[in-house]
Amino acid sequence: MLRPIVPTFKFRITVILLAMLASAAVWGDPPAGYKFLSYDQGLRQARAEHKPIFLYFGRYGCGWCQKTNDETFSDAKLRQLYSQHYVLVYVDAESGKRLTLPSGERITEMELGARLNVFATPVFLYLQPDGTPIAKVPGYKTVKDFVQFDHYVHDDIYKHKTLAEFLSGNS
Amino acid sequence: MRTWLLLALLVTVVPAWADWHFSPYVAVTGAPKAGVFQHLESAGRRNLAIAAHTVALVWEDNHSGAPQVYIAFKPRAGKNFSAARRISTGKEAYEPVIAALANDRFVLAWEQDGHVWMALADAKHTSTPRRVDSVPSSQATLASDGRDRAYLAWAHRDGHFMRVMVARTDIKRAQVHLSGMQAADAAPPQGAQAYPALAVVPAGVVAAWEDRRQGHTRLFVTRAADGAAFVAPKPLNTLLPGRRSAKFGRGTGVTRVALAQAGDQVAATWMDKRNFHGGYDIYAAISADGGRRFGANELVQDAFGDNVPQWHPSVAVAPSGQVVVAWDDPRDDSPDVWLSWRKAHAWSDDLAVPPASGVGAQLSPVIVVDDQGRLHMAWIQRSGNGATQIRYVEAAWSGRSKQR
Repeated sequence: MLRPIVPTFKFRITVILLAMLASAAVWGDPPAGYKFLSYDQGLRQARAEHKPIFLYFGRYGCGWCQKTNDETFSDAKLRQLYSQHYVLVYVDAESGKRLTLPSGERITEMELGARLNVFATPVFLYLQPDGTPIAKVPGYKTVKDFVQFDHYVHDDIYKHKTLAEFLSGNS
Repeated sequence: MRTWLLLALLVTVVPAWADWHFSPYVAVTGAPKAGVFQHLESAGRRNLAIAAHTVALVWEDNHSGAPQVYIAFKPRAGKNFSAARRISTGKEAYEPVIAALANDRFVLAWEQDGHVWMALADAKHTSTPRRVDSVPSSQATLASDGRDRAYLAWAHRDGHFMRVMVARTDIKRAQVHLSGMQAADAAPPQGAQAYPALAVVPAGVVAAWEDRRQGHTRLFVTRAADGAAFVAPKPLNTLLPGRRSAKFGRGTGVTRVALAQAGDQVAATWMDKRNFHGGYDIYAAISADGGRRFGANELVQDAFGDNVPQWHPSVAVAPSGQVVVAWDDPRDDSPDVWLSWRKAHAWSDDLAVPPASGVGAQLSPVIVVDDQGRLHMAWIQRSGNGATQIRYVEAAWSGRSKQR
C-alpha cells in the first residue's frame, strides 16, 4: 500500500519561506535581469558613456508594474535592446531616498515624481544623458510598444517629431 | 422680493476665500539665487510652530554649499522674520522639524549625516545639538501641547527594516533629553516603516506612519498614554474591495501621513492613489476621542482637482475643532497651494490661496492654526529658472461661516 505524502514540518516551513521570498521580491520591484541603477549613478554613467537614460518609476505593491515586468520586460530581445541602448534607472515613487538633479538640487525619489508629474505607476521616461526629458510614457506597455519607443529615441526621431506625431505616423 | 432674490444670489456667489482674510505675504529667505534651493520637507510636515509670542520656521537649503538646516523667528505681533540661523553642525542635514514649548522655546530635530539630531532653541540661542540614536536614523517628526509635553518620532535601522521609534522629550538644564523610548509597534517589523507623524493629546500621544508589511504601503496608527506602552496599531487607510488583484497589485498607493490636534480632536491627512487615474488625491480621517477611533476616510479636495495629482498635504486643527488641509496641485497648469476646511457635513470648495497661487510654482505648504484661530502658512515659491524663496502668510477666519 502506498503511503500518502505528508510534508514534514521542515519542508512546509521551507515552502512557506520560499513563497514569502518569491512574493516579496516581485511586487513593484524592477524586473529581473536588468542592471537598474540609482538615479545619481545612472546620470553619472549616462554622461560618461553618452547614452540616453531609461527611467522606470515603479511603486512597491504596484500591480501594473508587475504585469509589465512579467509580460514585457521578460522578453530576452527587449532586455538585450534596452541594456545596449540605455543606462537603466529605477526610482521608487514613494521613496525618501535622495538623489541629485542635474541642477545640483538634492531631492527625494518621491519629489522627483512630483517634479516630473508622475501621476501613476508605472511611468517610463527617456532622458538625454544630461537628464533632459525626451519622452514620458505612462502605464502598461507591450514589447512592441517599447521597441517603437526605442526607435523614436535611439534613432533621434525625437529631435524633429513629438512622440504623438511619431506614433500617429506609425499606426 | 427682487431685492431678496438678488441678496440670496450674492450670498451664493461669494467666493470661498471670503471665509479667510489673508495678509500680504512675507519673504522668509532672501531674494532667489541661482543654484540655491530651499526645501520645506519633513515627516508629518512639521516645519512651522507657534509659541506664545513667537513664530518659528525651519527648513533646509544649500546656500552654504551643502544642504544644511536653518531656523528663523518672527514675533507674533511683528511682520518680518529674523535672519536665518544655522542649526545643523555636520556635512549634510535634511528634513528639520519643530514644536513649540512654554516660554517661547522650541524643540527641534533633523537628519544629519545619517542620524537624527535634536536641540532646543529660542529667538536668541540654540542649545548644543545631541544625536538621538546610535544606529542609522532619519525622518524625524515632533509634536507638543505647546507647553511642556513634547514627543519625538523617527525611523531607525532595525535589522533589515527601518522601524518607527517614539520618545518623550524632557528639558533639563537648557538641554533636551529623551525618555521612554519605544517602538510605535512592539511587534518586530515585517516590512519597512517610514515617515511617522505625531499628535500630542491630553491623555498621551498618537502616532501614525507608513508601513510596508502587507506588500504595499499602508498607514498605521496607534496611541499611548503618557508613560505607557503603545496599543496594537490599526490601519488608518481603508482598501477598496476588489482592488487587490494582478491588475491593481497588492493595494493602491498611499503615502506621507500628517497629524494635527486640538484637545481630543485629531486629524490625519495623506496622499492616496485609490483613484489612480489622476495620481494622488488628498484624504483625511478624523478622531474625536484622542485617537482611539478614526472616522471614515474622507476625500478632501473637490472635483476640479480630480484629473491632476495632489502633493505635500499639511493639516492643522483650530481650537474650535475646525480641520484645515493645505496641499499643492497643478490643476491651473502650474502648481498652486490649495486649501480646504471641513464643514459640518462636507469639505469646503478648494481655495487657491491668494498669495500662494498664480505666476510661478507655489509648493510644499506647511500650516498651523494658533490658539487664536489664525492660520499660519509657509511655502516654497519657485520661479521659471528653478530659483526658490520661502514665503509666509497669515489668515484670519472672517466669520462668514461658523469656524467648525
